[in-house]
Amino acid sequence: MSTMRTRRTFGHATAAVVTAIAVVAGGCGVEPSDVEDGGEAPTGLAEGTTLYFVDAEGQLQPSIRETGRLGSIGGAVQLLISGISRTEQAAGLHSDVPVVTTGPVVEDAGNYVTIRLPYASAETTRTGIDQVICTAAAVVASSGRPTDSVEISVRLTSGEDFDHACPVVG
Amino acid sequence: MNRIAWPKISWWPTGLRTRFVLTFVAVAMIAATAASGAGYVAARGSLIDETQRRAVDSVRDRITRLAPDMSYPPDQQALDRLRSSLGDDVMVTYEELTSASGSALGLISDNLRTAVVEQDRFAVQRVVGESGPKLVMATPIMRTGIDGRRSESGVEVYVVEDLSPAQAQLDRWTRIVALTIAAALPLAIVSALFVSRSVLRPIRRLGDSANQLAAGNLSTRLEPSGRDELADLAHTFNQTAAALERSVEELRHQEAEARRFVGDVSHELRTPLMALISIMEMLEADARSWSPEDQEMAAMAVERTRKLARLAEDLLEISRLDAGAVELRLEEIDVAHAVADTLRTRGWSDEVAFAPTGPVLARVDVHRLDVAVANLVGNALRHGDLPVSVEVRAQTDDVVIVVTDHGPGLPDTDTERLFTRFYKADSARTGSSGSGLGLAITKANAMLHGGDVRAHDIDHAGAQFVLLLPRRLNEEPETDVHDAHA
Repeated sequence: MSTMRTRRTFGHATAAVVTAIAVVAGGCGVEPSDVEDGGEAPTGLAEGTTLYFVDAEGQLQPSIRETGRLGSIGGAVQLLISGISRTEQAAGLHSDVPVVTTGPVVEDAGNYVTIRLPYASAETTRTGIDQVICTAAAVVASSGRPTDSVEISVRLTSGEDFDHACPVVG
Repeated sequence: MNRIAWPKISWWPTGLRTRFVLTFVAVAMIAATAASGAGYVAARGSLIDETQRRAVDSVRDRITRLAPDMSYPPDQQALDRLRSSLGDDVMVTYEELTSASGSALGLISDNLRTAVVEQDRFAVQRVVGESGPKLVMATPIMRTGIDGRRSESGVEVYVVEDLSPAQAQLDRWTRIVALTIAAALPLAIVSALFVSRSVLRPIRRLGDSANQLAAGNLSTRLEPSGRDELADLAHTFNQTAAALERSVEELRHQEAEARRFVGDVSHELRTPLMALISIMEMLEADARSWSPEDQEMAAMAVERTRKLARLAEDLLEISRLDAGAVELRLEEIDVAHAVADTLRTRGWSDEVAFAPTGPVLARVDVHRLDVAVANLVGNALRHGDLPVSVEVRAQTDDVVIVVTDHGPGLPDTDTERLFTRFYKADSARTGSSGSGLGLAITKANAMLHGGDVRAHDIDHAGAQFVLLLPRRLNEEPETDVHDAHA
């Protein structure tokens, strides 16, 4: 019996060593796997850019401008500054953002977006500032970035800074 | 003797050291292999995870950056632009449109396609093809509303990335692990030899000491070192040896005491017995005028007194032999002549047939020879029947003295017992005039010479006693032989 047990123990030990050596020396490097989850899918596709205008009651309303792509924050603000379209006017909307030919300067640093508008505070209203902030926030949201962690600030040529959140988006 | 039966295993080496070293090395190698293997497996897991995560993050970041500028719904051109921006082995699909490049796209499995469609999440799969391991990544591009809700866009992206760098890294690790294990082997052997020496040295010392003890060196002791089990064993060994030495010493002391007592008693008895014999002989001389009954009584008294004196004489002799107080005085003599002298002085020349064929020279102690031969012949005369014959002859390096009687033969088949002290063949024959010590004395004298005495029956006669003594003719005459008496 003792002989048998000794032999079996020896056999187990040998098997363990052989397996270990086989695993190590066999160079089992990268092995095939099943389908694994890789996290969130990317986003950012859109048929157009969402701009915010003001309706008859003075409320902000989104309106999709069919540009064929989402575009950037700068692009969206540029569209807003370029003026309201006929279709949008026909829908009873107007804009408090002054129409200027100079483009805005947008610094997008991930969590901090700074928009420098080419006009002074006298040329716009509080609602006009909200239009810019909400349009920028809509781009941030559609590109998949978390809106509550992105701080958008607007700076006018007269020196005022506005960094409040958009009252309707996010 | 009660021995433990160990199992016989033919391949298992019997040497303790070999077994120890083999076991030690085996355990060390198992430990080294297991540790290295476990470390390798863990490191491989984190390397693959990290590589995979970085690849997925990179693809997701690029798509996130590119998607806002991509027209939607996309045309073929838009798909091609996205595909070329993402790398070599990339496929982008939108409904019926497909933009693909690279040779590794065949690795995209149906499972992966299904997962992408069903789950709207990034999916990855490692595939090992002919060109090595690859990571296949697949993801839909989502549309996100201004309220944060996600919806399908129908655009799916498949990217195949080569995992050869990770594979190369793993191969390097494998080599390092194998080298580590290989390097552990000589280290384990050296350690095993070192440790086995320190363990086996006390065991060998214990064995040597036990052998010395067995050889009679009872003062052997071990020096226990350390406080381990082997030190305990050494301590126990020392206690055992000390106890043994004490017991043997005590026994020797008691034996010496007993011998001295016997010697003292017989010595003290001899003088009064001699005086008693003289008185008895005078009485016997006076007894001629007495009545026949009284004469017989007197003769019996003399005879018994003589026997008593002989017994005391023999006891004294044997106690001297026991005490080792007897020294051999060897001189070169003619043994045949000495035997004839013995027979003549004892007055046995008529009863015993002795025909010397010539001088037989030997270096023996004359007195010891006389005592030995006289006891043999006396024994034959007492217990055997006439004729008793004595023969002396040389036999190679020995001188042989043969005493043959024609009595009933030996009383016992165990002839060695005849030479024990006070051996009585027949307890009823107490009247015999022997002391019961004669043959024992003969044996002791023979052994003192380095010879022996044996007894056996012979056909057509009675018992035969053969005394063998070495002749020692080649030895230096000056050398005194001090044979230690057992």
